[in-house]
Amino acid sequence: MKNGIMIFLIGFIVAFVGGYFIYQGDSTASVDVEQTDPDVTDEKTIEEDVATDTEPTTVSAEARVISDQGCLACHAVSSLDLDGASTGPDLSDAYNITPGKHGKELDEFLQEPTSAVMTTVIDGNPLSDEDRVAIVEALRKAADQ
Amino acid sequence: MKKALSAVSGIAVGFLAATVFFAEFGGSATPTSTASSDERSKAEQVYVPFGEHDDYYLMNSGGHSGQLFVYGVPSMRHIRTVPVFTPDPATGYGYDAESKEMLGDYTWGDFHHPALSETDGDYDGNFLFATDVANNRVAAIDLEDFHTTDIMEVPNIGGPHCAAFVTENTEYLFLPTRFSLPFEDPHASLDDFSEEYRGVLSAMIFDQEQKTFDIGYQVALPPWSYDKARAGKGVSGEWAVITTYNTEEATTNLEINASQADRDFIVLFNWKGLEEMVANGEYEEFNGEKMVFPENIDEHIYLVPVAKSPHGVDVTPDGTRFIASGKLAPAMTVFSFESAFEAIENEDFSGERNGIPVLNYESVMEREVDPPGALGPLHTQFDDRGNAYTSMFISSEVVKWNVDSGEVLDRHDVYYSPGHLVAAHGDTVEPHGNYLVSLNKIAKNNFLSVGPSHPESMDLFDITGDEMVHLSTTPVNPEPHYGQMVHRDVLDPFHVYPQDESDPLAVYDQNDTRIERNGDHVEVFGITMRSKFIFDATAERPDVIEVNEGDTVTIHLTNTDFDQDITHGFGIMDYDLNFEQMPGQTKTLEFVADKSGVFPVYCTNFCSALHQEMTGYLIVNPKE
Repeated sequence: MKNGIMIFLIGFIVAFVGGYFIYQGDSTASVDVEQTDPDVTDEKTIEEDVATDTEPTTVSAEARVISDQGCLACHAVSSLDLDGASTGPDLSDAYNITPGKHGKELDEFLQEPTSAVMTTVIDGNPLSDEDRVAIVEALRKAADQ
Repeated sequence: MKKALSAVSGIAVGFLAATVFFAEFGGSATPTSTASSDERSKAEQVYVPFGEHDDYYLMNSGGHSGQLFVYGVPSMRHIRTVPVFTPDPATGYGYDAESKEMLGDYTWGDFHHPALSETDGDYDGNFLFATDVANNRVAAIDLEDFHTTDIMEVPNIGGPHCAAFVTENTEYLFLPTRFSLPFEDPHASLDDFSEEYRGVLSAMIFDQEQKTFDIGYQVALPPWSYDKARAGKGVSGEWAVITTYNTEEATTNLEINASQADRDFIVLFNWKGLEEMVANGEYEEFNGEKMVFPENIDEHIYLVPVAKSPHGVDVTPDGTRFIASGKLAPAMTVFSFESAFEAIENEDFSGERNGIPVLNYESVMEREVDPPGALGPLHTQFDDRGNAYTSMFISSEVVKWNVDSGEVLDRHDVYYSPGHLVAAHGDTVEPHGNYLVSLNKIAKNNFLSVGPSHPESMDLFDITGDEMVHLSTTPVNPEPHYGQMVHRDVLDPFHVYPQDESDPLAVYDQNDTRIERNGDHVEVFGITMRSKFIFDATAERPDVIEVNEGDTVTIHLTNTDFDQDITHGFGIMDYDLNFEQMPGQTKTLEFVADKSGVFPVYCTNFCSALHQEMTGYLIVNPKE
């Protein structure tokens, strides 16, 4: 009797699994094809490259403070090859234009911004003196590029 | 035996369970599976995913909207409306000082055929030209920033319908006349139409450095209606062709009276020869322009008979032939430039009209192509494999045919009543042969109903194969008269206006903002930036302008956000004024403060999280 039950169960499992492949075989096969599609693989590789590009090894230690402090969440610094979001302006020339545009030097602006959005950003997470000086220095170099 | 029974029943029950769990039944089909795989692949062909761009810009006539519409192909998405002949509050075009002066007092224009500038017979991406049939204007749009850069009102012409089709290296744009007008006496009676009226052609020059129009010369053609035109290419590069109807010189009920003669004409003229004549002083001054009278010269201008009431005329990519058709005739007629030159050389004329030699039709005509049942041939475009595509207005179809053999290769319905066709680079020396768009006048019930006035529409075709494949239908704004499709690589618009220290009206530093008074003229040198106006940084309220009733107020605003896609607007409440400044741009608004009160000013073009706070006041003190 036990044997009969075992044979029934084995038959059930074999047929159930077989049935799965019969009915779902096409879609699983196409999934396999997609996964091995060289284009898709290439795209993934490219995406990974892009992701690593945001912190390229060529970035100077000074420039690294810009990404470390989260500036790139809103700003790019194209003259330093720093990719960032496009929410805020590209900071390549920020060192030069801040006094004219905002009425104070960049260093002062980063302590007490004159725009509402940057005020919110800085008030919530003030920069240490050390980081602020490093950012100003990095953006001074960016403006020289 | 029992074992076998257990195995069989186990397999049967297992398979049944698998069927219940995994099989897909008809009733559970997903919506997409109801579309054929054919339809799915068409959808894939026109789908442009996020992060990618369309392959082509489609620059479309906006007709009586007076504007240019830019679409992407193959998605057919409307990307931008560029104001040209009509004020546009969305961009402040026609409100700021420069564009207001350029537009004059016109509130509308009838933008017919757009024409991209060319180098060596192909689009060079520098400028796009347009004509205003209603008000005799010609405009140039700078494709570096997609803004209208010059408009000229052209004297002596009467409705440049046919457009600004350019010569191979943009030496000229030709503006013929749709409505012949009194010539010497501005009040000449319609009873004296044949004697006193003329249909003047204007040869326009555009200086690409200065970005300004000038008139090269004009030609006092007979009092007929001039329709479509094309410049030649290669062997025919110094020539151009224009269709003309109402050679009957009717002055009323043209539908009947201008459809009497079996043949009208194509005007074939050598623009280079006319240019040389004019350079040699062989012209007459007329109303300030250098006017050539065809009856007074014995070269450069000829007539070619064509089936009655022709509309389109198109030149093959190799420049050896021109193709025209009568709107009321069933056939496309292929004419040979070389045969025409030979006929001119041999004086093989069948007569003359109004002092212009008429070439012998049989000598110049190479072939008549007559697809059975096709009616109303209008416009022809080309692919890169020697084929022509002609729109049939009356039978609502596109006919594909071979130019060399005349063989009809394919026909496809369009939905409905196509005017122009536009193929990718389809009127240049190098057509791309991949996409064709039919610009349809009538949509009927193709789209959600929006009342009795329906949209116009465009059908997109894939023309890479032997048969045309209809990919999509798109509703469009009125009115697609003509378009040109240019590959995206040809254009390279910039995103931010560069700082121009030489511009005395520009202000880039808060410390330079100021309000100056000179008598009753108040001049503001201000800044717009996220998210404030600064008219005078030293004032108690830097975002307030205070003037006296009756003052003339000039406001120069510089957008100091040198940042892609950050455009600011400036609207003044109850003063009917609004204009925009693009990133880095300086623009000027001028008005008379003719009513007193306190008027809020605000940024009209969304710019930032604090856009709503970007406001100020114009205070106009009452007269004492």
